[in-house]
Amino acid sequence: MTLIEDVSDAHLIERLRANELDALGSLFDRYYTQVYRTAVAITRDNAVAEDIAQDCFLKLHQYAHRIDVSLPLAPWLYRVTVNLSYTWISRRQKRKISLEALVDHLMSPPWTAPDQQAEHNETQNQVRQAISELHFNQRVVVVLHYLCSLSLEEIAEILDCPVGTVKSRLYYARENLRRRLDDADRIQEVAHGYAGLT
Amino acid sequence: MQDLLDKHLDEDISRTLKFETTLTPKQKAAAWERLQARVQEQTQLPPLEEPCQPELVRFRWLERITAFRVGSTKLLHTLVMDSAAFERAGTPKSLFPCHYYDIHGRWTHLSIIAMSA
Repeated sequence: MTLIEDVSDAHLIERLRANELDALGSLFDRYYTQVYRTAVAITRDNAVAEDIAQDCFLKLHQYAHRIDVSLPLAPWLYRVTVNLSYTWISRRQKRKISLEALVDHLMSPPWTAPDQQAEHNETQNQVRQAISELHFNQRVVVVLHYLCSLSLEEIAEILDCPVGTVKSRLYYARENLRRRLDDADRIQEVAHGYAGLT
Repeated sequence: MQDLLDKHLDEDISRTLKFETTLTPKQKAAAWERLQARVQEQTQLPPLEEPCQPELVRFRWLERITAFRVGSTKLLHTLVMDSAAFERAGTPKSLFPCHYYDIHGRWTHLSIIAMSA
């Protein structure tokens, strides 16, 4: 019996071209979690992330004959995920939503189950909020770097931009996160009445 | 100190993102069921045609080689066989005021104009 790990992506894509669903299943097992988590981290919406991950694998099936099997598959999947997330976010921004709905969306816990919510500490809430406030380009770089553990070169290849651009976006994203977290800490200190005691 | 703060920030970002994006096996199984159903409704796109045919490439190379060969021959002929350029260069212009360059670029005597006219 051949283990899934032993079979290369290229071989699975070749089998997928022959419309073998088992091959799609193997690729799904291998990459679905990464694709889904990337989409959740970018969109902050579980349901949307599921749709994006579905569309990503549908495209994999649809474009199986056009994928270059000499290249690794993961960057292709990440690229599709980022593009689909971008499309969803830009459509959402164009949509007219009421202020109340917007406030609800921003205040609600975006992607956590109720039992997990209790385990959240304050820092994670702040970091999550700060990441969600980043510009799309910076957020994508942060997600690919910290969640998917990709190098700057790999991110540059996925986003089809120079390494210097990725480096710059990551730098400014971290600066923004640091500033926002500092602000949040200061607000908390004021709220608890121990600001300036040190 | 700054490095330590940076490290803490990196850890916080990484931990938050990883914690917040968990996927249960149940969710994954449901997603696979849904995907299977949708895939069966969809057809695969055919492969893209090659943008450049091999015959065309060979033809272009042949064309370039031919152009280079013809150009080299012309240059060699001009330099070795055609002495007009050397004659022009070697002749002091002040000694032959009645000579001029004709429409072919050759050093010609004025009387030829008179004859042709």
